[in-house]
Amino acid sequence: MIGYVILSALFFCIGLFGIVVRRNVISLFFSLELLLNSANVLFVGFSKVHGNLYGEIFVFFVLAVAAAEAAVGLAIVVALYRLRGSVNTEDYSSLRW
Amino acid sequence: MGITFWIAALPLISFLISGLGVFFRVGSLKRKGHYFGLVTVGISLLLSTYLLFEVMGGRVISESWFTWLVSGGLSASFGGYVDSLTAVMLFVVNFVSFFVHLYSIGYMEEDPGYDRFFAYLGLFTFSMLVLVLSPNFLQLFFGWEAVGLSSYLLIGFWFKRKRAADAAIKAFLMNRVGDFLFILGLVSIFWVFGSLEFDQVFSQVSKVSAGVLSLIALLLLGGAVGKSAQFPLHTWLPDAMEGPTPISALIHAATMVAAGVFMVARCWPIYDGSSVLDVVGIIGVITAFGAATVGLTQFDIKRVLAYSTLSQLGYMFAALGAGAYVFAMFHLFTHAFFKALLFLGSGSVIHAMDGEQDIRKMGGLFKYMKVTGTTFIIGSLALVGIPPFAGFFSKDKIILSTYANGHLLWWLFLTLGALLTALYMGRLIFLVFFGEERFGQRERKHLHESPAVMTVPLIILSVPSIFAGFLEGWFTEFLGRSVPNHLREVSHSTELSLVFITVSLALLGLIVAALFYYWRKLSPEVITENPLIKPLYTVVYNKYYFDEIYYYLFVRGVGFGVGRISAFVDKYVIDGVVNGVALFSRYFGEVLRLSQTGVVNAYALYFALGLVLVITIIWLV
Amino acid sequence: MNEVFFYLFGFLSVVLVLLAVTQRNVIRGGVFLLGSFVSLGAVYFASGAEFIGIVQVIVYGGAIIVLYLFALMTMDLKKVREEPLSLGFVSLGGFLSGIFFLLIVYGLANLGRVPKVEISGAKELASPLFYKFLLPFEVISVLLLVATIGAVAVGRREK
Repeated sequence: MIGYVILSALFFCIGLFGIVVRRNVISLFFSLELLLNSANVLFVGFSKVHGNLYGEIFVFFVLAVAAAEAAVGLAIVVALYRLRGSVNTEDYSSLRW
Repeated sequence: MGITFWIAALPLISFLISGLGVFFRVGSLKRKGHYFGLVTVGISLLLSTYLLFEVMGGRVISESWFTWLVSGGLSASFGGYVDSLTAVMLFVVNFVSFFVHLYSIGYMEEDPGYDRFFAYLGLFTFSMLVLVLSPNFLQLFFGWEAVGLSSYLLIGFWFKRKRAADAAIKAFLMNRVGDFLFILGLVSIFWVFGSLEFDQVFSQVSKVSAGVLSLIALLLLGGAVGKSAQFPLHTWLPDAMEGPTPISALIHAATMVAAGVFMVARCWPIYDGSSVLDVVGIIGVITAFGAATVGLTQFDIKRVLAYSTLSQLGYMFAALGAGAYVFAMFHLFTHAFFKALLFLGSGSVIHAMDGEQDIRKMGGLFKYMKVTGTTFIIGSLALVGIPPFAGFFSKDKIILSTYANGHLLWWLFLTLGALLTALYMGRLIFLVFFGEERFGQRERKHLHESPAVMTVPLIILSVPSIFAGFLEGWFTEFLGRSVPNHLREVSHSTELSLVFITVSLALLGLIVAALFYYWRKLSPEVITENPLIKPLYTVVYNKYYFDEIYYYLFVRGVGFGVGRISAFVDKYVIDGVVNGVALFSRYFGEVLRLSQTGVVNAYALYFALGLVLVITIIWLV
Repeated sequence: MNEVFFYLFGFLSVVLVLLAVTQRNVIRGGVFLLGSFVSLGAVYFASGAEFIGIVQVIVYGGAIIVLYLFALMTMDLKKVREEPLSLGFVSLGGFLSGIFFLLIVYGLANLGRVPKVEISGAKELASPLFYKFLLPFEVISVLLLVATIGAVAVGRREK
């Protein structure tokens, strides 16, 4: 069990690190997918521990949602790129003080 | 709700009807105020007389009206407690109030505030009755404050006159000073005894140390000094003469100012158990003598009578201080009648003189107003203490008690005071009613004897002024059932010699007054202008400069001083805090706004930070 | 045996992810991520979740990353490549990640259960999926439809 936990934790933390640090929007999305994956790993682990398949079913759904989210998110990024001409988050900061 | 309730409530009804009629400008009630006043006080008087006979028969009446509030250990209820002390007071208050009502019909006839006057009279009568009937300190205090309020309203009755308005405030404020001490006294009573009911407090007096009792007695005395205008809280009473004369008669002669004496008498267990009686007596003697000296120099007829009242109240306090509670009350009893008579008589004179109050502009009035003059002389003889008039008996007993109980210095000044009393009253009578007429043609045409509504009360009041003294034996026994009278034995011959000294001094005073003001053999100016006497005269004439001292000490000094401090605190401390909060919010906001960078990564960082904090807190808790 | 593969591919995926997140070049990062996902799929296989493993590789690797890379290709690569990292953010981010790591591990470590490696392929998953979780399944398909429409609507060129 601890293996799953460490793996999930590592993925989550690296994903978090990526979100905080990276300026490129696409890189942000990569880190986001990492977060979702960490949850997936944990679900699978729990599923194996408890002996029933509910965890894996949920992973299935998480995967679908992640795909949908990636599609919509990318569409937004494309629109933003057309507007601002950049994919750097610092160029999207018109809501600053 | 028994009979005591109605005795107090009836005058209140008069106040409510007349007062609401004035407030809502009810046309049908205009100029009818006297009906309600006379009827209600009249019935109250009858009931009080009935109660008097009941109590004489040996009953003590104790009724509970209603419970006002219950809080913690304090249960405050209103009720009526009538023993011999209360019964006498009820009679006196209602009697004088009734005849003042009657008199005012004539005196206030042309006044636009006619109904308002009777409303206030009703309010005052109610307040005084509540005070006198109280079975506990809280109701006493309620009545205490209420008479103070009525006094304020009535002194400032002609509120458009600045002097009257100022006098009303002065009276109320000085009263307040005394009341503050009184409240402290009430608090200490509750603290020490755990109750404010008279029976509960007085029965436990023996369990309390003399020191504590003395403190309580002193605090309560503070209230009495304010209410009864004793030294040093006396300066409001002469100025209270700005009010209409009927109320000078009712409030500031017969009843309200007597409330202090009544209170001390009622609380005699506390005073007997303390060592404060000497203070009471000294204050009384100082007031008695000092006021008499000032009264000798005044030219306003009402002021002379005001200082006389101060002086006589001083006599009552001296009697209390000597331990002769009953004699003090007896003098209160007789004084109420003849002082009210004197004030109402002076009102009659003022009325005839079309508002003039300066005695230097009067003279020879006797032939124009025989009834007023005669009754006024009767009242004066009573006040001066000429036998067989009432004042002789009561004043003499006081003087006797100071001698008998060993206060020789008090005795000396009180006896000299009797001389002064005769001097100033003689001066007053001779200057007002006899001698040359020092007024003009206009006034002479206006001179007339007052109408019956005004002279009848004068006549009626002169009856007890003449005969009340003979009630002394009965009074002493009757009141002795509720209140002690500590009197050491003196030999009959000593007593007679004391009487002889006092009466001869009184007669001497009258003769000297006649010499100066009637036969014109001696001239007062010779004495007052004498360079040795003049400075002394000036000091006395200016009332020992008390008003000026108080003004500079309290109004300027403390008042403005406190004002400046308050202004400073308001501007810098309070505004500082308020502005400071605003400034702080602004700066805090300006700092906080820097976190809004617009960059998404930063926001994600904040999310994560918050999440860590929440988890940590939950984990810790 | 399974355990060895689990740890091996797990280690591999972590290394690849680390590389992916720290790459300057976004496309390179994307490829590393692809590798990481595939290796994650191998981890799933090693745990016995065969169906999930296959789906992971197909969806993440074959669809999502590819989608990202296609989107990247529509953009001017010169503007996309540069990316300076500020020190403050990096240290803060690292610190926070560390904290989170500790929190998660501490929170979940005491479960002490041992996983049973049962092979769960399509046959085993189909039963709950189409019986008990039929409604979510259908809803997910609607969701995907909505996402498709939404993506098209948002990404359209204004005429």
